[in-house]
Formats: sequence, structure tokens, C-alpha cells
Amino acid sequence: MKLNRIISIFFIIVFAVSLASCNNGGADITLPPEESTSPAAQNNTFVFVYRGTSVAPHAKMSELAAGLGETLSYEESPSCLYQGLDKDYTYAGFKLRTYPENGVDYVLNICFTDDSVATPEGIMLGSLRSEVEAAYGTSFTEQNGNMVYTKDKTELRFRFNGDSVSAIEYWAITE
Amino acid sequence: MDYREYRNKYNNESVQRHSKKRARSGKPIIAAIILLALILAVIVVILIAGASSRPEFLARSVTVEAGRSAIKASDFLMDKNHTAEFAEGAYYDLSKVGEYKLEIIVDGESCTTKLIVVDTVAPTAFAPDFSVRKGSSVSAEDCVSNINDATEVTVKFKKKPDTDKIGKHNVTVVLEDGGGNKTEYSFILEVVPATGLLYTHYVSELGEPMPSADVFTGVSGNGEYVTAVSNINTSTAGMYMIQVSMDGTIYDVVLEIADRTAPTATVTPQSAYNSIPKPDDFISNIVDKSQVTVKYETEPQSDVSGRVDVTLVLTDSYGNSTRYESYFTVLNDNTAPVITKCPEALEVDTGANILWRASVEATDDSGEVELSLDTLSANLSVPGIYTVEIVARDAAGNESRRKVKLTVNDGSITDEMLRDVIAGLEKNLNIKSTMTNEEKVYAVFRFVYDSMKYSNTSKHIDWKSEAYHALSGAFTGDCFTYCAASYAIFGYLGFDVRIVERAESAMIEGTGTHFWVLINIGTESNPQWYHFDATPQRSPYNLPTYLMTDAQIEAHTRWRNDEILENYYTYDKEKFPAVSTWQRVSLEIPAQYFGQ
Repeated sequence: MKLNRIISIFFIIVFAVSLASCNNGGADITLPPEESTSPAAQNNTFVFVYRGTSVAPHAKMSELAAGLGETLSYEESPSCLYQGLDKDYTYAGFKLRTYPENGVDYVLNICFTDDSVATPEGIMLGSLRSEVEAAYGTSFTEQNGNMVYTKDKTELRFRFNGDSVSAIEYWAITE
Repeated sequence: MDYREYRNKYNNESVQRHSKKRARSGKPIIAAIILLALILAVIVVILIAGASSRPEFLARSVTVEAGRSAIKASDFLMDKNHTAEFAEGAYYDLSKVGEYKLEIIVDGESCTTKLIVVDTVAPTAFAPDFSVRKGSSVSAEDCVSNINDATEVTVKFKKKPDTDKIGKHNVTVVLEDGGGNKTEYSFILEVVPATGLLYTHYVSELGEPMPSADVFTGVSGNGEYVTAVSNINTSTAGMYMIQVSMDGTIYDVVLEIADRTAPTATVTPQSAYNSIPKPDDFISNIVDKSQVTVKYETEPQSDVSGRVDVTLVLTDSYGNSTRYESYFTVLNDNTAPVITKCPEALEVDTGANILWRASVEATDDSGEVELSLDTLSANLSVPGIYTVEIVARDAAGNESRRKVKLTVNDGSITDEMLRDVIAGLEKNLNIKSTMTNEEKVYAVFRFVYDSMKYSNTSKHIDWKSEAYHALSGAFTGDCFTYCAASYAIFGYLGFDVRIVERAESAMIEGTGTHFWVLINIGTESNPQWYHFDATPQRSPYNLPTYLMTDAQIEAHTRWRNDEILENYYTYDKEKFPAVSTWQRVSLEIPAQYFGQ
């Protein structure tokens, strides 16, 4: 009788262990396709990403507007510098301004207005100077209190209040 | 039963009982051995099971589309806080459809999982019309080129053409990839006589180099263009009547430049909340020589849900089209996120950026929430107490809002604050006491012009605030900011200076306003007023506009009138001191714009 019990217990344990070994582990998942590298990234320029849309200085606004979604507000006024209208788009967390050239609007700058947005490298308003240097390195120039990183014809500028970032701006280097 | 029977029965039972007792007295040892063996077996089973077990955060299987460039062990992790690497010898081939059992080291422990490589995208290729001579052997592979697929593709005739019959044959080839996806291409195969021209009408692909005349003869080195073809633009579609010679005979032939290549693209399945994605959303990396449009072959119904299979048709400007099968998944989510942590009040100084994100938290059943601060009801340039809203939004567009009091502190700029900022810039201004006024003005021009960046950011309200924010770090703004910064610096240096705005009557539609300053480089009793404008201008108008006479700004304005920027320096002279007529700076304005 006892032998029978032992054998029964054994099979129960084996069954439980088998079940455990079969059932553990997570779900079946499908990986999304690889993302293609954006033209901006290929050109080695600074790029800000918002809602999955890559926004690089000098990019055509018409190609970005749909991906960025609705603006909170929009203003335009005749440009003192360019031939056409300077346009000012306000999105949640940043402002985007364009410059006109031959009837086409290009991104002039992207300026963060609060800490709900961050650079793709994880820097946001309130980040520390050391975090900026860890993310972007120490190859920057100091321009009137701005820490300026340059890539091709784009700039990424940081200003600080004490040790923490108080302003983040992406800029197109124009004429 | 008598006594004898009873005794025999008793004795027999007694013997049986004794036998059992004897047997039982040997069983404990056997049972112990069996038990030990079973325990050992259980331990072995547990060890084996443990060695191949998968933790909850490791995917049971990962499915990828063939042709992917790489896969990482961490792709198998559903919780990225763990580490994973492929065990030595782990094998998979991303160009071959199949299931690959993989051993992965997760947090130092060996685990097994599965990689499934699928190919759901049908192959594409180029299959144009072409000619062969009678009796030629033609394989299905000869009929296609530029095969594009992630896995190996086989090509077969639907019905093999008979090349012994002269004439045009409608031929169809079937391409099948490793995933079983099939694509059919139909074209015309023309069988021509064994002698003579191979083509009397040859189609060359748009953008390809001019083909050799041999394409018409079908024999290498046997053809020659009689017509000069160097002027034919192979980048533009067209048809050309030309002549070629073969074996001393001249033939009239047609060379056609055409785009027969259908567009290709990367197609990515989509998911959308409570809506149908646009056809363009599926498509990226389009390759074609002309403009390509993307449409659904059949527009999906608006009330679909779950997975919806679709066919996308890409068509280029020359009518070539490619069809891609794909799908989208409609996700239904009508539950708004929940804001779980939110401050009652926020505070900010005028003109400063608001730091609020760290004090707000929200959750959503989809797992992803976008948080934003809606400040449209507040004027961040004017001190006061406003009500703003924290907005939590999920991918489906469901929103939760929470009202928050925002105090905009008085950030009024005092003269002392502005003076301190400019004093801190003296080194950069590079102004020395030995300089003449003219030299000082030029130094200010260079500083403002070179250190600031143009952007239309100013509200044109408060010059002091504008100058302070620009010179204390922003160094950006429009003409009002350049003007305010110059005005502030000149004031600091002790110059008499005025702000000038374009005359209201000159602000015609599309022009707007413009600001600059008038500066007196003389004395109070013997003033010498000049126009000063450090706002950058585009070439060729980017001149050293730091000490300009009325004649010069008028000439400059006429010059710029050629652009849309009319009345650039038009101002109301009666409101300002008279400007010196003595020209101090030469500006390279074309002579015809002076003295009109």
C-alpha cells in the first residue's frame, strides 16, 4: 500500500514538474519590422523625435506636419530676414519655428517649453550639466552662456540655470 | 466444519500470514531503495526542467519577418530590466523561413526559446517583353531580373513557350519564395527568324545608359548607329525613329525610352485605434524614378474591427504598379487614462520654461500615456494666477484633464538687472575707453549681429524684457529683439538712442513692421544722429548697416522693394531728430537706387 502511495506521489511530482517546465515562460511575440534610418539621421544632423516623427532643422515642414499632429497654437508674421512668413507652431512641450525659402517652409528651430519632452538622448529641461556631457560629449563651444553642439548644418544648444538645463534648442544653421 | 477441518484451515491461514510477515520483513529495504531512486529521479527531472525553464519575462517564441538584418537576444525579453545573450553555438538564419530552437543566457541562467522566421511578403521582379530567335532555348529565369525577396525565389513558367513558332507569345512566369508567397508576371515573348534584326522596336529602361546598337542586331559587335544618338536624353521618356546598320544594310528601327519598372517599397502592418490607417502609413522606402501614389485596392469598411487584410497598390507616374498584401489591426480603446499624481499648483517666472513633468503621473490600460501641459489659457509673459490643465492622452486619443493653478511670478526687469547683464558682457563687447564713438558703435553692431540668432519669437511689447532675456542667455529673436538689445547696450554705454519702428502707413500687406534704432554719436549740443540696425539680412542686403544716413536707408529700401520686403526702412521722420547727412560708412548698394 505504501509503495503504491510513493509511486503515486512520484508521478504527481513528475507531472507537476513537467507542467511547470512546459508552461513557464512568456508569450509568443512578433517583432515589428526594422525601422529604416531617417534621412536626417543618415545626414548626421541633430534630430528631435516627437510622437515617432523625426524633426530635424532644415526639414520641410510640409513633410512633418501630419506626423506631429495638431498644434496648440499657430502664429505667422512677415519675416524681417527671409522673403515670406516666419511661422511659429506651438506643440505640447515645444515650439517649432520655420523659415521660408522659395515658397517652402523649413524648420528653423525647435525650442523646448517644458519638461514633458526630451531629446532622443534623454536630456530634458532640468537635466544636469553632467548628464548633457555624458549624452553628447565634451566637444561643444561656449557661446554667451550657451553650450553649443554642432553637427553638419545643425546646432543643439543648452542653457543652464546653475547646474540644471533651463533651455534646449535645436537650430538650423542658415546663411 | 469439524475440528480437523478447522485446524487445517487455521494452519493454512497461519502459514500464509507467517509467509506474508516474512515477506514484509524484507520490504522496508527495497522500499527505501525505491524511494531513494525516485527522489533522485525527481531531482534529476527538476534539474533538467530547471535548466530549460523560461522565466515569465522571456518570450516563448519570437516571430520575425525574413530578411531582417539582425536580431538581439534582448528582443526575446519582455522585461528589459534583465540581461540576455545568445548561448555559444546558437544558430538561426534570418534569410530562411523556419523555426529555430535557441538557447539564451538570461541573467546568467540558460533558458530555451524559439525564433520563428516567416516570409509574408511576395517577391517582386522585372519581367519586360523581349525577343529571341527561333529555336532558342529560354528558361523561366531568363525572363526576369532584379528579383527582390528576403528568401530564395524559384521561377517557373506557367506554360512553357514554344520558341519554334515565330510570332508573339503571351507568357506568364510564377515566382515563389521560401514562404510560399507567389507573384505572377505576364509579358510578351517575340520569337523572330534566325536571321535579321532581333529588335525593330527596342525599349530601353528610363535612366539607363544609351544601349549599344548591338541590342537591335542581337549579335555582339555587329550593329552600329547610323543616326546620331548622343542628343537623346535617356532620363526622359520618349520614342525615337532611328537607323542602325548591320552587315552593311541600314534598318529603320524604334528606340523607346520608357519606365517599365514598378515601384518597390517597404510595407509595415499598422494598428490604429478606432480608425482606419491611411494607405501611405503602411509604406516607406519607396524606390521608383517618378512620383508614386499609394491606394487601397479596395477601401476597407469604416466599421471594421480586429485584423483586416488589405491590398495596397503603388502606382508610378508611368502607370507601373505593384501590389502589396498587408493588414492592419483596429484596436478598440474607449477608456481614458487616469491621472494618479498631480500637483495642485505650479509656479513659474515670466518668460521661463515650466518644470512640471516630474510631479505628474498617469496610468492607462494600454500602458502608454502622453502627458502634456495645456497653457493656452495663460499668458506666460504677464504675471498673474491662471488655471492650466494637465492632459493625459493615450494612443487612442482618450484624454483626462486635471486643472492646476499656475502662478506666473512678476519677472519685471529692472534697470539694475539689465545693467548687470550688460556689465557681464563687457568682455565680449570688447569696448575700450580709447575708442571713438564710431568705433564703439561698430563694436556693438558686431556683437549683436554676430552673437544673436534670428527667429521670430518676440511679442514686440517690452524692450527692456526683450533685451534682458536676449542678452542674459537666449541670444535669439527678431528685429525687435535686435533693436532692444542694441538700444539697451547703447544706453548702458551712455549714448542717446531712440527706437524707430516702420511707419504705420508703410506696413502694407505682407510686409509687417520693422524695428531699428537711431543713435547720436555727437553731443547734445552738436548731435550726429544715424540709423543703426543689427538685424541680419540675406545676401546681398547683408551690409554693415550701423551708421546709415537717410539717403542710405532710402536707397536700401528701394533696393529691397524688389523683393516682397517693401518699405523696409520707411519711417516717420517728423517723430525723430534729424539724421546727419554726412556719410560715415560706405554701403555697397547699387548706384541706381540712390537719389531717386
